[in-house]
Amino acid sequence: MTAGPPAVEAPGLTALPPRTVEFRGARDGQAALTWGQQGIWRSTQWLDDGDPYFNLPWTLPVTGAADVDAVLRAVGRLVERHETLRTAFVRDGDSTSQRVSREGRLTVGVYEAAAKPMSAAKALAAELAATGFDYAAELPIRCAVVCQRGRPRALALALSHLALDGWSLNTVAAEWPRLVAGEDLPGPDWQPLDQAAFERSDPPPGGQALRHWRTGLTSAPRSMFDFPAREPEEPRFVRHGMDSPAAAVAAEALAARHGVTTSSVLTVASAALLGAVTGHRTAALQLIVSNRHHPGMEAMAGPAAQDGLCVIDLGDGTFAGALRHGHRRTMATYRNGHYDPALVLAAWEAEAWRRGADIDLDAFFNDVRQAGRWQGLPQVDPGDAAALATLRGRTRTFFVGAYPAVKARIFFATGPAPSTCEFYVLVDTAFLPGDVAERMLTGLEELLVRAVSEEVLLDQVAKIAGLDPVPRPAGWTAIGHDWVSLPETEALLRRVCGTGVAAVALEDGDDGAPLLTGYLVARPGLDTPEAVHTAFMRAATGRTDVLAPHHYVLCAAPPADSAGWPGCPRLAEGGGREPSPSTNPWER
Amino acid sequence: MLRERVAELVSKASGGDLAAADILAADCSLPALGLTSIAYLRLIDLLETEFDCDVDLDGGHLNTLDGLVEHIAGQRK
Repeated sequence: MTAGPPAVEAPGLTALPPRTVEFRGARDGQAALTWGQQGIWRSTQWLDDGDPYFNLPWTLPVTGAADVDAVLRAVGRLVERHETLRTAFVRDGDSTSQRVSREGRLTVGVYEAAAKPMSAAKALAAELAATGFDYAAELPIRCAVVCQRGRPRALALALSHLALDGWSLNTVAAEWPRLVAGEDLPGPDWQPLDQAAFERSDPPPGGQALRHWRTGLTSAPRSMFDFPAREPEEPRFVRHGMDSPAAAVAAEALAARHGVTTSSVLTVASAALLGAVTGHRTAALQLIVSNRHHPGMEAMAGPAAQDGLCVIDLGDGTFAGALRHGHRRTMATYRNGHYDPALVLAAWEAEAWRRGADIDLDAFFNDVRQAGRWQGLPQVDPGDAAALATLRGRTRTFFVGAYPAVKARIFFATGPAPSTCEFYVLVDTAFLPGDVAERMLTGLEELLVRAVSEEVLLDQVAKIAGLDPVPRPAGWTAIGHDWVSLPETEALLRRVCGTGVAAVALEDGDDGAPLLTGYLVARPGLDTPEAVHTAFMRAATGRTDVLAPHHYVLCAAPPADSAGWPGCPRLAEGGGREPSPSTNPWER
Repeated sequence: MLRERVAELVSKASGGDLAAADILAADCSLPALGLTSIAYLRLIDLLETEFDCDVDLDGGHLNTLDGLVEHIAGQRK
């Protein structure tokens, strides 16, 4: 396997002749993708071939007296150590596998910087990362040595996210100076090939995580965004950031007071803000789970993160109460983040079929802080309101960027900064105005600081945070955890049945829970509840405003007026949920 | 003995950031000592392996050393 960086021109850099690094690792091999690789691979498939979105530009400093040869030897050792850096992703029909090459060559650019070699290396890394990787044929690493007066000062890298995640980057960063110094490091004893074999062992791991997902899917709102959509801004997705040492100090105080982690404080605060804006007392977030607490995975270079489902019943009490409950839910989520994505997808689709709506879980939270904590926060007594207020004078919010396409409706994330709460919110402006992202940031700070000094009631969160709950026009009603537009649901049922004659009614079910009943006139091909449910689900794909009726009543003829549906002679009725999706023609 | 052993496992889960002696002497919650989410996850795995038990995530016993000790002791009865 060979690879070389594209010819790069960067200001202030003079290109010297490139060098070739030959590497020979301990083994080669081919295996199915690990579950972590599958997650990134699936995301890459959203994009066009050659799209560089999942490339990671990165720089590593070179300190000491190492010469270019020593740096090139370190690069070779790095690729030899970590099989993920010599892995290609090859398609075979519908399946994709990872293929590790034992040996190969890597062309490494060499540059002389006139000044500021680290800055020059960063610019060079961005250039190297600007071109997408050919995952099947190219090594997932490109690099170049940046020298000043002939001495290496930095290594500029572009890496494929399929090869490394944030955790692995830290692993590599820790090894790098030792490799440059020529140290003989013990080889990692767990690689993605080993992980792939483990995930296919008998019995397979992940059973408990699958049960966690099934429970979460049944208790999550079908969407946090079940309210009228709006005209999106251009570009549609907007991201704002905040740097707030005060929020960090307050979050640490709350964590210590309530026996929870700061990660949980930030997660629950995000859930509370989202619930307050969207009118939900139960919030569902997908947490990015690093999965690094499992033995072996901690030292593995390669993507291991997966999405975990966290459903937090915020209740109608206090923010403090929600913190204690939510902490347990976040812990359970982080504990159940390692699973077979195909099995979770099947459970997800089955629940959508049963519920009668797509289950939209496009609300995310990611804590990227190293080891999940801050270090070196300002020494401010959180009980001293005046001191905390002064600290808030250092808070800064800023616009990060706007993007045409993101697979999220809202995305909360910390930044890696160790001594301040660096926090980001991205919103989909097809649902929330772009300025909500910024107001959620200042609202988060206000909520945390306020909760240090007083009991905050959850029904006051929107007001405290300065956020406006979304309005729902007449005709929207809550059914369980879900908000539903009855007029839109009825309109869709009419369209589905083709005759234009149908109605929905909210009635009391046998168990006292609200039962949405759909009345329609049967016609050939649409003469069973199953056929109607199949057609409705297909037509409702992607919508967050409608819900399939729990019960379908098929009549021979329409009534004289809409109030007469319940009294019409019935040809057939039922939930239409059988057979199960695995044998049903309805598939997404 | 159980208390000391659980404190050792908390220390191990923290990657050595927390000393067992400090954990035993603390009069505050484990997160207040600096135990992070990922360290908690390691700790739960360590406890379940060592004591062959299921650590229940619901309930306040996760917060403190004594809560954990009591929870594990209850599971071993």
